[in-house]
Order: sequence, then structure tokens, then C-alpha cells
Amino acid sequence: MSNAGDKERLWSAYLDGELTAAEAARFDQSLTPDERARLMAEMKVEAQINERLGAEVTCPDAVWQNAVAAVRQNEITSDGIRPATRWIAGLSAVAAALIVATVFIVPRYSPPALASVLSVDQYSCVNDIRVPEAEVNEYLRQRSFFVRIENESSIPTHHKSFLAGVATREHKGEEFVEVYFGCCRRPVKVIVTPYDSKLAGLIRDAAKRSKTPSVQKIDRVGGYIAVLVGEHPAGHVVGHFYSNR
Amino acid sequence: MVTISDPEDFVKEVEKHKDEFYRYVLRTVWDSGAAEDVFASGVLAAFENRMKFKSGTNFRAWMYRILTNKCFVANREVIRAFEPLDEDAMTIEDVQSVGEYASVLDDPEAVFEQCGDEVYRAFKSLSTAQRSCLLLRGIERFSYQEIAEILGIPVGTVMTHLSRGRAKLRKELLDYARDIGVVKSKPRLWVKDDEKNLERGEASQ
Repeated sequence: MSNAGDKERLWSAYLDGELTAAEAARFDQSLTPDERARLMAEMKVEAQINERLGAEVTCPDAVWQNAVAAVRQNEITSDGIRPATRWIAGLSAVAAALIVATVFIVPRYSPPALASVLSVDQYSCVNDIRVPEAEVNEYLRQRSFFVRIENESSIPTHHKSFLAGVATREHKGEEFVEVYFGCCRRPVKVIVTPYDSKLAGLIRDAAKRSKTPSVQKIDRVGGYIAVLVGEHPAGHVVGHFYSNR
Repeated sequence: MVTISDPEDFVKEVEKHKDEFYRYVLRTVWDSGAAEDVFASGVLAAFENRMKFKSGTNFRAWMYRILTNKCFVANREVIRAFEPLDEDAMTIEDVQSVGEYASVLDDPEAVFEQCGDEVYRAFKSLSTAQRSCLLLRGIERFSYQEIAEILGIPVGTVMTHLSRGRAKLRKELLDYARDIGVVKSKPRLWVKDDEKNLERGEASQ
């Protein structure tokens, strides 16, 4: 290694406080006054660089949810439960939870009710009839949901996704919309609800506590959230929801 | 003591640091779309290997090792144990010998005020290894030894990445500052050592 290279590396190590006290003293003594002045100035340059590179960055909620969803998926499949069996297990769990819910009074956060919202058991029929995007958008407009679907037909064909229907549902007095898709002959749905609705709050709370294994993605679309629910990976469909405001 | 064998414990531990992990991936991979995939696959890889983590050891360093490997794959680069000797590689002394750089050293705050965002573009021009080392040292405050373990390279190579990365970053910033007229040419002749018997003061333009 050349002397210039050694000196360069020592300079860096001195800047980083990585030299021992004795090494730092020796290095300091080897500097001319001008070199020492430059080193002090370089520390300020380094501080400016680090201030910008180290500026706070928040991991987007959707990115974190996707990562956790992948972990949950892995956790379930690594237990040796086949995806097809999970469907039946999921339905049984929801049914059992609904029975429990009718016996006990559940306070503010009601896991069984939310579980039924976040499952696709209400939509278990996947057919091959496409629903026109324009009709779904008109349906949303008439119900004052300022969200539209766009370019759904441009979803890559290898996913074999299609728009299969839309319906209005209710959760604790609040209306929300479910938009159904078939993806690779599996049902998925996107729940659309106002961002400040109680349901949106419940879903976000549950997601934070990692209680939403069926939720693949939560995206903000204008004043709404779009929640992708289902067992089959279909994150791409949420990207076709746009705000009308 | 951090334990992550239980899935819930794992998720909670990662969540505590998710912002800094995401920032590291974003700054190393740079493309935000790719960064999201790299972050998710890094978290998943860590989960799949959580049994290999030894309780009581540095969880952050362990995660950064996994994330760094993912970043290198995403950038299609390889972590080399030794950087090839590059006679043309610019050193910080080379940058400092450029006349205009004196203006940067005179008032770094003022210069960065006007072209601070250029740091991001300049940073992007560095190699993945240089970016990783600078971030792990400057932002995440790992020691040289810890960085060497994270990247799986000798400490000497870490030091080389840091010094070359810093020189290149400064050169890029200087070029930009010069292009937009933020710094002016200001020849500055060093006070040489006594052996060479050269002593000049600062020269005005």
C-alpha cells in the first residue's frame, strides 16, 4: 500500500475517531499547521454531508405492512399448513369466532367482527365474467366514494386478474365498499373506506399489532384507504385505485 | 437482551428500527421502488434465519449484514474482500489541491446551503461498498471493526472504501458547486514542509 494511501486512510480514521489515543497523537504531530486547519474544516464538511444523508426517513406504512405480511405468510407456510387447507382453517376460525361473539359482549375493539370484514368468505365465488371498470366507477360515484379504478385492463395478463364485482357493506353503522377481483382464480378484494372512518382506524390498529394476516396491503388513496384482503398475492391491483379529488 | 426466535418478538424488534433500516436500504439501493422490495426481502430473510441470531449479540449489526447483502444483489455488485489498487483514484488531498475547494473549506455551511441536495446525486455516484461504509460509519455510527464484520471484509478495505468514497463525494460536490458558480477559483498554495524549503502564503486571484 502506498504511503499516500496509508496517509489517506489514517486521515479518515482520525476523522472517525478510530485511532487510539497514541496513534491520534502521533498523527496530529505529523500534520503541518495548514494540514491541521484543513482537517478541522473537513470535519465540518463531513458533518454537512452526514446531516443530509442522515435526514430522517420514515418507512412507509405500506412497505412495513408488506414486509410483515410476508413474514406472516412465511410463518404460516413454514408450519406445514398448505395454502388450500388454510382457506378451510380460516373459514372455520371465522365461524368459531362468530359463535363466540354472539355469546360474549365484546368491547370497543371487536376482533370477530373485524375478522369477518378482513376475510374473503363473503365472496367465495370466482367466475369468469368481467365487470366493466366504467360500471364499477359509476357505482362508486353514485355512492359518493371519490375513488376510481383506472387501467385495470392493463394488469399484466400473467396474473390473470379481473374485476369481478363491487358491493357496499356496513361495519358499526359506517358504510364501506368492497371491490372484488379474481386473481389466478383466487378471490381477493379491496376494501375502500374513508381514511378517518372507525373501520380504517380499527384496521390500522390491528395491523400495527400484527393481527391482520389476510391483509396484504394498505394504501392511502386520497381521503380513503384501500385495503387488499385475500390469500393470493395481488398487490398490483391496489395500484389501479386513484383519488377523484 | 434481544431474543427474536419468537415471531412476535422478531417483528417487534425489527419495527423498533424499521425507519433506520429503510433509510439505509433507500440510500444504498437508491431506487425507491427497488428499495421497498429489498427492504421486504431483507426482513423476510432475517425472519427465516432468526434462529441463527445469538441472543445478546448486536441485533442491528446482524440485520444490517442481511440488508447489505440484499442491497449488493439488487445493485448487481459483489462485495470484494480487497479493492483493486487504482492509481487514478482521487484522494482527498487531490481534491483539496483544487483552487476552488478552498472556498468550500472556508465556509462549508454556506456552500452546502446552496447545493446541499447535490449530496444525494453525488452519493449515488459512489459504489455500493463505498455507500454502505459511509452510511454505516457516518450515520449509523458503527465502528470500523463492526462495519468489517457486516460487510465481511477486512478493516483495511473498510478504510479504503471510506477514504475513496469521501474523496469522490467531495470531487462531485466541488464540480457541481463550480458549475453553478457557488465557489470561485481561489488558488491556494500549501505551506510545504521545511525539507522542501517552500513557503508561500495564500495567493489572491
